[in-house]
Amino acid sequence: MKRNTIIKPGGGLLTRRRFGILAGAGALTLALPTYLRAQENPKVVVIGGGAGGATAARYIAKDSEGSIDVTLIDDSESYTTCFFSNLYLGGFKDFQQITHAYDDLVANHGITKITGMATAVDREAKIVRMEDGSEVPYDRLVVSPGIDLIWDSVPGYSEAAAGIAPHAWKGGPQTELLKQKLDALEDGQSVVMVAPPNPYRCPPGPYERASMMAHVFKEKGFENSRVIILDPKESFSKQGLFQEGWEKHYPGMVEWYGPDVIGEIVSVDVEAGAVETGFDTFEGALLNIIPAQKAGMIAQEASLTDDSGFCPVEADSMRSTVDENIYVIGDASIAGDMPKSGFSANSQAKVAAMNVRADLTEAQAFPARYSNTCWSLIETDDGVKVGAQYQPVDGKITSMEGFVSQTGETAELRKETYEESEGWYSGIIEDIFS
Amino acid sequence: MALHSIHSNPSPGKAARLAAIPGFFFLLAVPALADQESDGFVERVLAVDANAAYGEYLSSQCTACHGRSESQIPVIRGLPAEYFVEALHEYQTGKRDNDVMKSQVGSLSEEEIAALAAYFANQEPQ
Ligand SMILES: Cc1cc2nc3c(=O)[nH]c(=O)nc-3n(C[C@H](O)[C@H](O)[C@H](O)COP(=O)(O)OP(=O)(O)OC[C@H]3O[C@@H](n4cnc5c(N)ncnc54)[C@H](O)[C@@H]3O)c2cc1C
Repeated sequence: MKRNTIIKPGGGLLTRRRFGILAGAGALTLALPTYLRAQENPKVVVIGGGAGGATAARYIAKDSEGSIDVTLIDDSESYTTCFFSNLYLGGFKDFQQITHAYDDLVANHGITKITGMATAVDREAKIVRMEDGSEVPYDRLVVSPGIDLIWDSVPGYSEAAAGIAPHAWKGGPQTELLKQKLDALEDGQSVVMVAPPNPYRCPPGPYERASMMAHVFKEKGFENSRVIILDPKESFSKQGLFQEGWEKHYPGMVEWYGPDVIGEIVSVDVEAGAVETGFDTFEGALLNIIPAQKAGMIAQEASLTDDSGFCPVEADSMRSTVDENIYVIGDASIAGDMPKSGFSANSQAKVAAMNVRADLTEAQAFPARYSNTCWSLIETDDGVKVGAQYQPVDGKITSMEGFVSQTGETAELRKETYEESEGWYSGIIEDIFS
Repeated sequence: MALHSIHSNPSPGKAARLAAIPGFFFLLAVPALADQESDGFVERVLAVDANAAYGEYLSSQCTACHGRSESQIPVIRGLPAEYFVEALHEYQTGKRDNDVMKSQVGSLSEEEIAALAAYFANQEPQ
């Protein structure tokens, strides 16, 4: 069992063990973690320090100016973004550039960060239970745990198998493992990717990733390596744009097969590097298996999910439809027409933050507005994007005005689009973590 | 929330020419823009009694991209209100061309633009 680490505003790092020693020495009040002390302020707890959760914590703390106590729970000391992780794979970013600490959230906004795993929510008592047995009480809870993988959606795949055939669909060690394995390939060795069924995080993600893998092969002058995508979907996000780009930059290198060609994905053997489909068995020196997805474990544990495996929410607030004291944002939520993306999670967090403040303080809640843009890089300076605005209509978050890059755009416009994505990345990181 | 009417075919305005000049601090030094070239839109919006709390909430949509460091995406904190309003109007009318911005501001009402302009004009750029 892992012990929590608690970082409080104003410095001081308390582990529960040290707390015990200090308490024994009579320093009880000083050493008590903030969340155990009797509080006048309403308490908000956020589970998940990613794109959704860290944004929510920051906005609630920042805009309530000390009138709400905010505790952010994440199982890690730092957060590696999945967004731009494909650019890391392609060699456009290093790992440090996509990894971010929570220090500024603590120092600038007085947020208490607990590093540890939340394992249960007692909705009746309004308490989050941590893996080490400690309890964190809340008045409002924001749940943003991201996704969990449904391992057996690809027969033969498992958490253990991910050590050999990484999914890299959660940021961190998996991302690094996939890059190591990609970089170790030699000319003639291929990647076989199994793409996920809908709904999943980042609809264009697998295809941007295939582009970045092909980029690595091309940079190394490989002529005989392939990136083969086996897809359970008949079509995919920005398909025309990706296929045009693959043809242009990586002719013959990227092969995509939908269910009309391969039928079902029957099973995967990660030791043998083989994926058996209804049509044929595909072999690759590197398998990248991206299984089906559901809301992060804690959302299931707290019974916030429905049959789809994700969490229904009210379209005008992101409040859970099953518990009025809980908001669910990001990939774990069912957000109508919005895709599961970091941009969406960040946007939903702001709507939730405003409503949390309105619940607990005098703050006003305005009509919800959401937005999203997903940029993808196909090859150096060849960026594309898709995006929209969303508003609640008849209880559903509904797409209002959308746009998507076009095939045949000028190189100049594609370069601008890529540079815009760079600007977005630095902007959103500041908006989440500063 | 009322949608404002979108003016078609505006003549090229000063703001469009200014936008071509790089450097945010230069823009700050430029005196307030006259409004003869935007059908009275800027003047009308600037006359709106802006709701500060609403501006703060709406601004959080902008700050997903517009941060404190200059990039392909400009810093908008601290922009003079006149300039801000005219720029948003130009995205709405298509005089400025960017898909993301067009979709972001397409449905903003005059009241919402006023609230945003007032909010950002009051922010420190850094
Ligand atoms: C390859 C790839 C590329 C992508 N590219 C883009 C892109 O270009 N643009 C874009 O907008 N999006 C992109 N995304 C999607 C984006 O990463 C996700 O949609 C986004 O991270 C969702 O945010 P979230 O807050 O829901 O979850 P996450 O960001 O995953 O955050 C959840 C956090 O909660 C923690 N956690 C979960 N459960 C617990 C618990 N019980 N206790 C403690 N901590 C817990 C997790 O460890 C994690 O840190 C991409 C995704 C992938 C995989």
